[in-house]
Amino acid sequence: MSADDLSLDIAWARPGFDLRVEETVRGQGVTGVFGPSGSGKTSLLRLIAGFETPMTAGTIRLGDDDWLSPARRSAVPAHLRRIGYVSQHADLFGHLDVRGNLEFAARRSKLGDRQRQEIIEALELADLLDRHPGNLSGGERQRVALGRALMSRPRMLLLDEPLSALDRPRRHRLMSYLRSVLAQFDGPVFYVSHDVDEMLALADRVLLLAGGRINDRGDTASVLAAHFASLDGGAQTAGILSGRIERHDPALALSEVSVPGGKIQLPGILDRPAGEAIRLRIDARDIVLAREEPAGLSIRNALQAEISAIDPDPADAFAQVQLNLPGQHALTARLTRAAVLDLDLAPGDTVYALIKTASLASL
Amino acid sequence: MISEWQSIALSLRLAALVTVLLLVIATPLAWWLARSRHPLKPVVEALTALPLVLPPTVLGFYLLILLNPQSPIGAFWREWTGGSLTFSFSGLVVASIIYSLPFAVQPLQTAFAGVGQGQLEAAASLGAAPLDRFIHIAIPVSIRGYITAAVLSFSHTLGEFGIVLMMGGSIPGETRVVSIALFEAVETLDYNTAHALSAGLILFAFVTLLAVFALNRRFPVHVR
Repeated sequence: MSADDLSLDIAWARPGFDLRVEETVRGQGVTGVFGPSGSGKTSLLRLIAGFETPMTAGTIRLGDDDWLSPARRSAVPAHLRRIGYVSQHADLFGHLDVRGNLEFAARRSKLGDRQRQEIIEALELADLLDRHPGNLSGGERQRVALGRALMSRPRMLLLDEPLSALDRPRRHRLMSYLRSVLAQFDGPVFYVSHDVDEMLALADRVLLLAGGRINDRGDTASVLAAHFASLDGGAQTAGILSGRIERHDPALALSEVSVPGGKIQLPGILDRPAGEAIRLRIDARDIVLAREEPAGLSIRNALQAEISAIDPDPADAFAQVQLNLPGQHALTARLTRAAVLDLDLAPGDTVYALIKTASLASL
Repeated sequence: MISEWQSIALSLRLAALVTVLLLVIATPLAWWLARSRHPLKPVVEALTALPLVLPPTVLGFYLLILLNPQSPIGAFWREWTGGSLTFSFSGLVVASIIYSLPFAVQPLQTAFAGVGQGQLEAAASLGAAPLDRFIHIAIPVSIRGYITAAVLSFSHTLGEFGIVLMMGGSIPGETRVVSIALFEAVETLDYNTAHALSAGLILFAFVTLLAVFALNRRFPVHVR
């Protein structure tokens, strides 16, 4: 148990909603808090930050510091907790320019000039310093909010859907900043989102929240894979592959990722170092199955897999084909029942799962 | 005309002092009204707004009763300062503060209600204690409310008449403010002086409001 583990034992109620969380989270790495809207993700973060206080006695402890405990008469107020909080609204101070916003935090945390400079460089904020929050794009605002939070020398970071107000290209850009900042941050990070791809890209482990309770916890890929059916309302199933970036081909703007059962070509990750781990979500509708290793096809990704089960849906034309890959990985392919009959597929058969590169994108 | 200049100077001194005191008094009151869900809040709101609807003479009458040297408050004041709270400059200050209170409280209350909870929480997470947040976030964000409150308090105090007449009388250099001087000029059929004072007040009011609207453009509301 490291010094900065976070222990939670909280009960909190609002009309029509109650939250009950008992959990200890490791003091390092990113904990994704995942769940549908209204499941209590934001409430959980606000309780940890000290913006809300549980009515009944509970425990919120980071390392040796009790912010809330049955022994204390009142909870430690938010401004004494040293928690960096970034919400989707950024909440920059409109009467100050970017420099003023950053200094607001740095002055109060007595952050040295060198560290201020490091944060400004890491998030590339130098060009924004004289601008006003009203004149920033959504992505720039989030970058400033993140920088401002880091300037307060936080012991813990709480990020509440920091990307949700952004369009996809901006998300992608901010994601690479987030990744590098979070990799260097020393302390626990809670990352709230209802987006599977954000979880896959950032979270080391996931707490799955539903109706104010933690339903599941554990390694990101396995928790998400186990709950895909319920997450997407069952309509859209997908599988998750964990892989490793092997090498980049800048001329073709493609990277090679080794995954269980083969290799996959992936666009859009040239900025990430080779050797790094990466998780991919593969939609069941983007998988084509072949009996033999294909030739003469434009599809470049072919993974060898074994069929574990076939679930035809009598109500419509499709069947879900469950595939096992080496190392306990699984994928689901959505084929027509006609194709299953044509290929004479049966559990135990070895097939090739073909995945179109254009359907793959990693945040 | 000498006494008219004296009246003008007295009015300006009164209005300036009342404005400063009002901003200090109205700030915590307006903050509480903007943020509180206390059951007594509507009562306090109604009390604060009372001077808006009451004839000034009513207020003046009760203040005369309440503050005269024979009353407990008046006696207490006399004990401490040796002065009187009726027919005196200090009395006018107290009366004007009560009379102009809604003109300071309401713009501030509106401004404070617009201070985003998110910004205050962000400031808290960055280590700012409650007073620190109030001074460095709430007040600067509400700067337009302060300008409006100051101008309205100042102009309203400058223009009061009935309440001054009831509890101040017309003591030159002490309670004979511009509006009283104007009234007396008309009573004595001195229309030249009345014209000069009236036109002066109109001009002053216009220039002040113009300055406010111009200033407000220099403090645009920053969108988050």
